[in-house]
Amino acid sequence: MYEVSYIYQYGIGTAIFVAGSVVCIRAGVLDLSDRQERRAWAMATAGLVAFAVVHALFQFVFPFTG
Amino acid sequence: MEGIEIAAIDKILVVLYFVFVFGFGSYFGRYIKNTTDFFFSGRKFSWWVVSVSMIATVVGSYSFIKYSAAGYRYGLSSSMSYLNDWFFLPLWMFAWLPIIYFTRMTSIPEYFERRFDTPTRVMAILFVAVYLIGYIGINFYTLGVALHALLGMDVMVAAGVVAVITGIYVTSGGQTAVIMTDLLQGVLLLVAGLSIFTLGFLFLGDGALLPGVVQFWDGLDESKRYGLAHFNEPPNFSFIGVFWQDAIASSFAAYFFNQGILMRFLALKSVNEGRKAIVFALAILMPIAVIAVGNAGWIGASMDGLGVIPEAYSQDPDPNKMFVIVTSILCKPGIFGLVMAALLAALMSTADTLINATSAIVVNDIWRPYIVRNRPDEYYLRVARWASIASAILGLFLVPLFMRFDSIYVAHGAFIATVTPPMAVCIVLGFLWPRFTARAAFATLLGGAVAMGVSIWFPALVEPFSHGVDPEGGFKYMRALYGLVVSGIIGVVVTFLTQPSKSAEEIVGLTIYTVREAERRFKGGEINRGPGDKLRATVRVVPPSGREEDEVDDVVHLSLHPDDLRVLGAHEGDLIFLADPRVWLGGLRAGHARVQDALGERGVVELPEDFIERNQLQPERGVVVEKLM
Repeated sequence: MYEVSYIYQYGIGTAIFVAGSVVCIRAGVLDLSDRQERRAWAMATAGLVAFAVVHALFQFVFPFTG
Repeated sequence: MEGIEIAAIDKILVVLYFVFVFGFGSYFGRYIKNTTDFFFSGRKFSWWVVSVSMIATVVGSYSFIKYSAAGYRYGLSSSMSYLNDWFFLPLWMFAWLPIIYFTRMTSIPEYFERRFDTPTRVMAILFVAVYLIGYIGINFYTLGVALHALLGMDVMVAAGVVAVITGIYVTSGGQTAVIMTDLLQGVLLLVAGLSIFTLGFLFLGDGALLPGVVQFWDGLDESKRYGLAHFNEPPNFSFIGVFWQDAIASSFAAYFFNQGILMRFLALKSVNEGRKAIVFALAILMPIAVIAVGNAGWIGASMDGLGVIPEAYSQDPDPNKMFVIVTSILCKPGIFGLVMAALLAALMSTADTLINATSAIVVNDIWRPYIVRNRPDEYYLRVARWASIASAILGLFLVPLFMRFDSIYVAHGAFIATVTPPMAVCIVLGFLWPRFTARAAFATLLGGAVAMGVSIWFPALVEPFSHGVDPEGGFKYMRALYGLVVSGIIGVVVTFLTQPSKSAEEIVGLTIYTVREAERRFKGGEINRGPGDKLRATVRVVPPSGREEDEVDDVVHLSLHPDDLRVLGAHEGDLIFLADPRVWLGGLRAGHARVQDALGERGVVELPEDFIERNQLQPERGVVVEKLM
């Protein structure tokens, strides 16, 4: 059931993240043509992806090493 | 285990630390001229100052105890709670932060008044007050528990000493003291926490670091190597429970309506600094923090697996004592004092924020609007200081209440899970759905709280949301999901049965669809998003302008040379920021200005004496100028 934890967290979590981004873009508060806002959104997205990768390693690879 | 023998050097270090923080925090009383300074530090800090100090706030004294206990029991998955805050980030960065920043909100309950009505605000005050004061009590209690285990001190005496010191420097220096002391304490607790990890590796590797890492990993049982816990077992630490209670409910509470954390972000010089601060905190500092607070438990679990815990300690396997056990094994005199100072730092940096935030609620939501109106600001500043003292005392009185719970982690989780969902739903619907009515908001808060309370007596209500978690634990963690769903249904249904009491104009700036208008109103004109660079300028001191708009705006109006304006990318009417050139001050000596015209001398800004004094600038050093909007 450890793999289900990962799928659940990054399934629902990413859905909330993407939905939040879409709502912000449609409401006009996130303008991806604006350099500062694009950079801030890109940093947030990169952070989410980085954590998803690290958690994947600790869920599917590292527990079985050593 | 009734206390550990402490070396004299460790005791001296702790006393010196107390004295230093007390003096350092109290020093910033010189920066406090009015309630805006006391609560928001004049909106001038840089992103890194707020980021580091926020981490110190998030890490409470309970964190070392509770995450070490969880780390010992469940291994690396104890880190889940610190690494799952990403999901609401777009909504927070681009909607909620701009809403509260550009509408110059002074408190979360104030949002409820402006967006809904007075009864909803009163309900929100109750919720936020319970949330904040409860947190103060938990922090004092857990520090008392730690010091009792370390020194054999009485829990109430230990909590009382820290309450007095924290209360005094917050009363003197307000938000500026909170931010600057928390910056220092954030660094200390991260360094101390990582030191324990390093010492643990050295202990396991017989003095060699890399072999120690290998030994550490070998000592961990496979079930303790996962980053995320088992999906629905055990009931008190399943993934699904932590996900709904922490990643969703608690994370939302921390960033959307924890008054203390939001006040920290309102002390920044711009919204964009807030975006940088939150990403840096979540991406870089939180992973470091989770290692700092949880590693004693991981090291303890590995020692257990390898059978190297000394017999004297292994006879007392209470996980809540694991932090104390591991640090006392690993740390030599001097280092142990540093760790104790870090524990104190974690407590004081959280408690000072909560005390300042509670004071803001008392002044801005209770005293100023309802009890004594229309008095000079000096009067409310005095009230703010008395409220700070009262908050610390009230938090102390709550310590015995928290003594009744058998597990700190469970007590903390149950508390947050109970009060959070109705507030979270109310805020989400409030800023995302303009149709959401005042009556619906009130019904959501009241109905949600009642539903949460009822579910404590009838846990079967939570069962449909349990995801297979064993009901043995009373669904303490799964109650958050139940609360979110019930509160959401109440909010939506009541909205469709009632009519909005406020016009679209009255809620401009308070919903996501009107953030850009709020930004324009904040500036007082169209926003200049064009590129620009920073400019180093010399300062010429001039007499106070005497302009009424300078007082109203809390900014000075400046003439700048056309070439300087070109460098800045600024035009007449734009808001600019002037700061001491020393970057490491992080905006401590800085102020806001507005471009009046393009008639100034090249490379020179003329600053009135009163502006220089208010913002603690040093004219001989010059200033760095940048365009904000």
